[in-house]
Amino acid sequence: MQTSDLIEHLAADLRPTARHSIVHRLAVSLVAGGLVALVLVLVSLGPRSDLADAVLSSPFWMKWGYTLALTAAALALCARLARPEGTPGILPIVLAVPFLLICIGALVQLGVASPAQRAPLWLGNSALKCPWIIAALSVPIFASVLWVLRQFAPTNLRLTGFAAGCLAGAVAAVVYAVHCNESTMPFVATWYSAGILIPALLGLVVGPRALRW
Amino acid sequence: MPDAESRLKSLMLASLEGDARAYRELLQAVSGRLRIYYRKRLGAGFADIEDLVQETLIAIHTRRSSFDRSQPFTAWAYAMARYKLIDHLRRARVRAAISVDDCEELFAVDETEQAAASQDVERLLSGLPEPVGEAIRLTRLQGLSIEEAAARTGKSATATKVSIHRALMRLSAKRGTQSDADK
Repeated sequence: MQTSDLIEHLAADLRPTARHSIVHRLAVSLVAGGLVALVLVLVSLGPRSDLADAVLSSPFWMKWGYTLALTAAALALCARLARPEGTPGILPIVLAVPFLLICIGALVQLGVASPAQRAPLWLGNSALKCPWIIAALSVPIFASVLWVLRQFAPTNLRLTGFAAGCLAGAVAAVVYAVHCNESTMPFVATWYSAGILIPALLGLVVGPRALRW
Repeated sequence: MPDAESRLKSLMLASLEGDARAYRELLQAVSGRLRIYYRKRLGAGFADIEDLVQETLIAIHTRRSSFDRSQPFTAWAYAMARYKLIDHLRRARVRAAISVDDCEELFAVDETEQAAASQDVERLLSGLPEPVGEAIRLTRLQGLSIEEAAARTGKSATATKVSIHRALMRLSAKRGTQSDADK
């Protein structure tokens, strides 16, 4: 096909383009994927029995504060990288800030505890299953985020895959907090973060293939 | 061509609202630039250049929602072109087993310098009368011969040659360099 014919063809195909920002469209995909994850939690694990009281407690908001902050930072990073000329800038550092803060909080909490209390603070009673459940819950969210990102034009596919995995993991962790009754910072800093890191590393690996255009 | 960025961007903004006429003009202008971009990096005789131009136009079309209306258009379009170029080289590596990691690095560096240099060149050329600036662009940047450039601008070859020569002298005087414009 001649290039001039192609241009005619594309011009004839032109439709007005929605003004919705990239962030907006990613957010819609998070809500969609997050609702699927929420249904999975409610059906398979059930909400924690004291949920009504827990949402008023500070440990619950420690968890949501951490995971929602990660969600916001990862969302901003994904939106930036979805543009072909988008560079990460300082956003990876912004993404690391909530993690560093909760690590500091965890160390303080361990520091003031007596030696005998430290292991239970760190391990709670669900340490080994928590990361895997978060990783499993991230699957529908990850899929919907990647699906949206594929419609844009990321050029740094590895980093975009990583950011998308972080985002999916963070939202999955937000949802998981509805079930999980752990309440210590050492637990969240370790096992929640591990659960978020699983899809993030997966994104690092599959990004170049999954996002290629 | 006073300011390519603002002209192309306003065309893009109109295109996003569904203005097919602006869109046609935009794609035509962009395809010319893409052709130069790929020709410079792959060599003028390279057979796949038109394929790459078309692939990039299609990507611009189907991925236009990745354009942020508050950001520059040219940076966006060239990032698309660069991605398609690297993708092309990567595929070519599979065919020809040439290491592309080096190429990527090379182009990454080239890109920045190129952008800065062409901005400088544009600034210098914009200080010249339009027909002369155009003649220099055609011969020195797009690689046309004096005759071809003369045919395009509708002047005689001799007049074109003389005006280019004078303009280059004036430019090098303006920059305060001693580089000989004759070569």
